[in-house]
Amino acid sequence: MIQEERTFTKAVQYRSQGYFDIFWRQLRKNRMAMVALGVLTLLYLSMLFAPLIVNTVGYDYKRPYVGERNEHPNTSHLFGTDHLGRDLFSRVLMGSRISLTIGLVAAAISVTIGVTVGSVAGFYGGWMDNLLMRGVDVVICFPFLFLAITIVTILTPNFFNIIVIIALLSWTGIARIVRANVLSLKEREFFIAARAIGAGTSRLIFRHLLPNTMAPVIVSATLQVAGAILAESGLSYLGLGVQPPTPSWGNILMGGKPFLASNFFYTLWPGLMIFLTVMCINFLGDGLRDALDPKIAKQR
Amino acid sequence: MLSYVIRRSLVLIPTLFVITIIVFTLIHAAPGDPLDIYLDPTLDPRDYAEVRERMGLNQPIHIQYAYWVSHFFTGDMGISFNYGRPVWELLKVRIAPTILLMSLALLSAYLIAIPIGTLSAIKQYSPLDHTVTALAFVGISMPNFWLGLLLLSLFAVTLGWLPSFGMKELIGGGDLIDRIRHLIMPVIVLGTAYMAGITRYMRAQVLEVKNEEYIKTARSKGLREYWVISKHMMKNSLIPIVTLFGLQLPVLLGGALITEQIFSWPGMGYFFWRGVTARDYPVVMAILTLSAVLTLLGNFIADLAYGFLDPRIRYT
Repeated sequence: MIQEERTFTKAVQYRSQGYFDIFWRQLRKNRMAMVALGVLTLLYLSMLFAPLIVNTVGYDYKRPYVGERNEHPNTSHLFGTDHLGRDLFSRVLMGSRISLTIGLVAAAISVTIGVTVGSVAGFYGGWMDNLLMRGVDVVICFPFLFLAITIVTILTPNFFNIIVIIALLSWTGIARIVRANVLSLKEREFFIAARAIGAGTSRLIFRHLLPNTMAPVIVSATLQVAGAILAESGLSYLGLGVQPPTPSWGNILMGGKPFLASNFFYTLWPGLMIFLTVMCINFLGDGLRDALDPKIAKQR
Repeated sequence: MLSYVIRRSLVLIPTLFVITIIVFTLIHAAPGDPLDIYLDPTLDPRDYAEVRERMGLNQPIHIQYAYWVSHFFTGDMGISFNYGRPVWELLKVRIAPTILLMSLALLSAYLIAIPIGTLSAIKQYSPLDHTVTALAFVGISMPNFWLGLLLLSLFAVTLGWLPSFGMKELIGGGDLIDRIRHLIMPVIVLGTAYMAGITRYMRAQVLEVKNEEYIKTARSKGLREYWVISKHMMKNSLIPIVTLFGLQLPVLLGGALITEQIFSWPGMGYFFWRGVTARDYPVVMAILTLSAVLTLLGNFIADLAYGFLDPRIRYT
């Protein structure tokens, strides 16, 4: 008897591992997604070790080297220097801390809000659904940049506020996806069965609804990181993001605009980094979508 | 259908109401007293109080709100702190340039993306398809402000072919050629991401439609391939593309803001950005409200268009 139970648990464990295996095998087949994953890992690692790397290269990212203004890339300044003579390699590397962190944290918060609102609206329905979805309608009406800029001016543009603003304005898409999924899952037999057995609200939501709506959430969460990075750098580019002298990719770009003619590399590096990061995330998101949805993968 | 239109437009009213409340609250929460702009601090406090009273700043907040809303929609948007002139007067000359920029960017994006997306789907997995897909990824991932700077440094700084800012030459400009030259880069910057998005969307749509039964029917009744593609595949793929317009309107407006800032394009977005940096609240308030109302209407029209174009959708 005990023996039997053990094999049973084992079988279940094996099967749940199998799902991940299938997903991973699918994802690995997608060469672009794997390259993207590699590049992103590298980017995030270099972000983590940025102070160490900057120390090794030997330049303080805040210190102006007065005699070496607007230098093009050379052996001592790998990426060149900016208009104050600060080492661009160190600045772009330190700037990645702001951009990549904001991207990840803002996306995490907005996904949390989106999943919560979407599942509550879909699960309870009725006036709750109505209220929450009308709220979504209102938030969607404001063009992101316009509202974000207004709020930034009223508050102060700093690291924390930027994260909160981006997160609070970009959860609506996920909320809608989750709600639609929950609504259709609620009609399925397994859910009706679970409810009939007497499963409690939290068990119904966390055990039966959310796991089944994870696939689209993971994909849009990934794309959300790209969106948040673009939003942050857009705000910084307009001078309304994280304020200099703290470098972020967007505000380095802004700083370089007047020197387009004399120092092309000033704007090249931060722009290239944003572009590269966002493109990798998009490739990864695309790969995840295919890997998580067997139906699409088969069609291709 | 008619009852749906009526019900759908009734929902607009509470949404509009909440939008105006949000804008009003936001600006009200802004630091500083509106009077600081006008008044010298050395002024007699009694006069100061009188001006306050006369401007309605002592009224309860809901009265101030009602006053603002009722005047706003009749075109009285207040006086710009920065220019000292009515906001609407300043704003109305800046709407047309933005509309011009946005519609040209949209038009060129659709005109290029729809045939390319279709072609890419028909020739799935061909080198063409791979190239288009790769380019679409580049287009989607390219931050528009960086694209703007790249174009500026190539065409304006290095080659000197195109002007770097404004709508026309300040001296002796204004003819058609001059205006087109000023439009090229802003339209590319605003249109690229949009074009890439539509290409991918169109490709996905055609792929979905490609294997439908009615396509087989059309082929087997001997229809020429050209007609199968244009009349059957494309037409059915276009329906969701049309509605995409409504959903993308806020993104497009945001893109216009960045584009106008890069090229100093004298439109709403640039005006808004200048207003924000100068803390010109009446201007900020007016444009923020206007952009939200535009988006609201865009979504509404897209919704109706969807029902109108797709006979499978029935509203009850």
